[in-house]
Amino acid sequence: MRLLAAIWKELLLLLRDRGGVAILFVMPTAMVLITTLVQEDALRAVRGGRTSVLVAVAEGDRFGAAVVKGLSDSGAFEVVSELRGRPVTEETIREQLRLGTYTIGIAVPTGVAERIAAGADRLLARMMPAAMAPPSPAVTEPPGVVAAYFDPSVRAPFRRAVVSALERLSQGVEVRVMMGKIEGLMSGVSGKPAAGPTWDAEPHVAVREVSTGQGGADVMPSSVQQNVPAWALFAMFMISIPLSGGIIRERDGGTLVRLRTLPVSPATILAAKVIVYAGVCLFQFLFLLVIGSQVLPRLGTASLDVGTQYAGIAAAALAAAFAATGFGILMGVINRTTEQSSVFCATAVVIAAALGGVMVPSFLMPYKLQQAGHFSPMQWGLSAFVDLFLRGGTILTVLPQLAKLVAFGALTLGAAVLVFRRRE
Amino acid sequence: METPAIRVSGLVKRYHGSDEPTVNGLDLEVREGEIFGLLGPNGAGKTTTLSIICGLLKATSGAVQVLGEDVTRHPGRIKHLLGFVPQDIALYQTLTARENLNFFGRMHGLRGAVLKGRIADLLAVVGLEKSADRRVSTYSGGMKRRANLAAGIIHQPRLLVLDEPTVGIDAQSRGLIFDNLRLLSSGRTTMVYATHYMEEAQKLCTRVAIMDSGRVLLQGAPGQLVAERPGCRNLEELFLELTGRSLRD
Repeated sequence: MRLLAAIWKELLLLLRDRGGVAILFVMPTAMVLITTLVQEDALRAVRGGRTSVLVAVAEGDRFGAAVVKGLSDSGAFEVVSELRGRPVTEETIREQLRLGTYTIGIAVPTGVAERIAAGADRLLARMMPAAMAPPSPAVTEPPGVVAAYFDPSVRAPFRRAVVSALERLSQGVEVRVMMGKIEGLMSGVSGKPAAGPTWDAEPHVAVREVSTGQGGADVMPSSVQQNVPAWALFAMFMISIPLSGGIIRERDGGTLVRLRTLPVSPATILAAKVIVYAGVCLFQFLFLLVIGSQVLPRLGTASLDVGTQYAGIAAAALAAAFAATGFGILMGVINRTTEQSSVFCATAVVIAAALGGVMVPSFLMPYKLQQAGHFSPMQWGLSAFVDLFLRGGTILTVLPQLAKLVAFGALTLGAAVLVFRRRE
Repeated sequence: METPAIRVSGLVKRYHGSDEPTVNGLDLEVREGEIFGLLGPNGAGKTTTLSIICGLLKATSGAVQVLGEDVTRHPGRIKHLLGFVPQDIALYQTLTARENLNFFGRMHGLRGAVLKGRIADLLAVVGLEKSADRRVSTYSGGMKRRANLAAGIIHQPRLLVLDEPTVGIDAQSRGLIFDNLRLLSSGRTTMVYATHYMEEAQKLCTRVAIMDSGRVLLQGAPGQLVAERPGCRNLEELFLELTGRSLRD
């Protein structure tokens, strides 16, 4: 009965703290919506989604056609060679990149294929002078230059990947032209037409991508899968602000003194706080899952897929809620004023979130920061959720993360009780 | 012989890091049903003494018996018999008076129709029926003090400890609080009342103890104490003669 009364009191106090409710629900909703949409393109690129590329090629140009085909066939790029019914030119590329509509553009000069063919003739004439006509005069004009335009925001590794792809395409064309010439030459010498597979049709080395995730699944989270659990954890830990504020107000206002004269154990009062705030944490988690599965898809993102490990997800949410509640109670006990507590909690939560991969996914962070993130409770929680959502993890495989969260909650709660007893 | 409601003997309380004890060998006795005034300047040790009597603080040494229980050993045993009205407005400001009383009543084990009836009676007694469903934060100082008193007596305690319950309120609210305390006293509730207001103590208390520097300087019925001290016309003059006129911080 007393526990129920204390729970009801905590609920009423929380519901009437408008600022607290805004911190708990409005802010995380805004953050998850904005961040997911902002990161959608970036993470899609990292995951291997198609990036739109403007390509300026002259109509009928053989090398240009090979570049367009090669980029399209790679699966990494969506080639845009026409805009509003007009062919893309180098000028269009500059303009569109300046406007920020596109981030990558490739301008292919005309006559590159012809240059390659002439170069191959000269090479063969030098190698086999008896079989070839005298070489044409040496070329003095500069080589054909394919210009790759990048928006300054395009990351250096991605630029290098694009340039490397263009060079590979160019080399492929050169090899094909050279082999065509050689085959023509050989059939002229033997009097038989060339037969059988050509050189470039037979790859001698293949590269196989191997995922390190369980079952070999692609483990890179989508923007939704990254941001929804991340901001849900952030929201959970933000309960430390209203929770600690409530404890400080009880202490400063004198209600704590009155509570201590009542025939009720301190454990009942503490349990009521843990139950209410952990319950709010779970509600926040469910609320953000609904945002991820119902609201975000309407804004153009993928729908949140949480997999099928419901028991593991519930256990992870419960462990994170306990950790957040313990932290909030400790903050309420050690801080002297609500202002001090608000600043301290907000700063601590933001730092833990940044290190834990909430704001920027851990796999995009420098190695040292990734290592530092292993000390963040949010990293433990996020890692558990990503394992459960994506990597085929189960409640057993995420037990280490859950144990860390529960230990963190127990330690902070224990520390709060010790400090409270010392001070009283 | 009747057992006193409170018996304190040789009470000492020394806070960690403090050179002088805040309470230094204090002795006092409060009889069942009386309103006992604890008077003293700032820093005399009144609040510390009350906190030890209520089981909120542990004594450094000495004995404290409250309603027959040794509170230094078993502070929990008197909690259901004890009501406490602290100097602060110890109420949840964003809850209404009714919600506060409901919470504190349920913490004392009251429920159902009994609790509902008790809340209705108390709200009427302290003159807050009409504003019972307003948040405490919207109340005037006097209304808050009355609600604070109501929360301390919701369970009809046998011992009521009041620490400066009328600080900063108007004469009307003070008068109402006095009326309620007299009513409680007639129902055999024992009261310990710490105050700075000598006139208040002289009107309300059956006996008083004047304390300073953690000791009781004098105790007895106010009228008798004044009569026994030539040159003192009232309790305030007696208080100033005993404690001096120098300022206390």
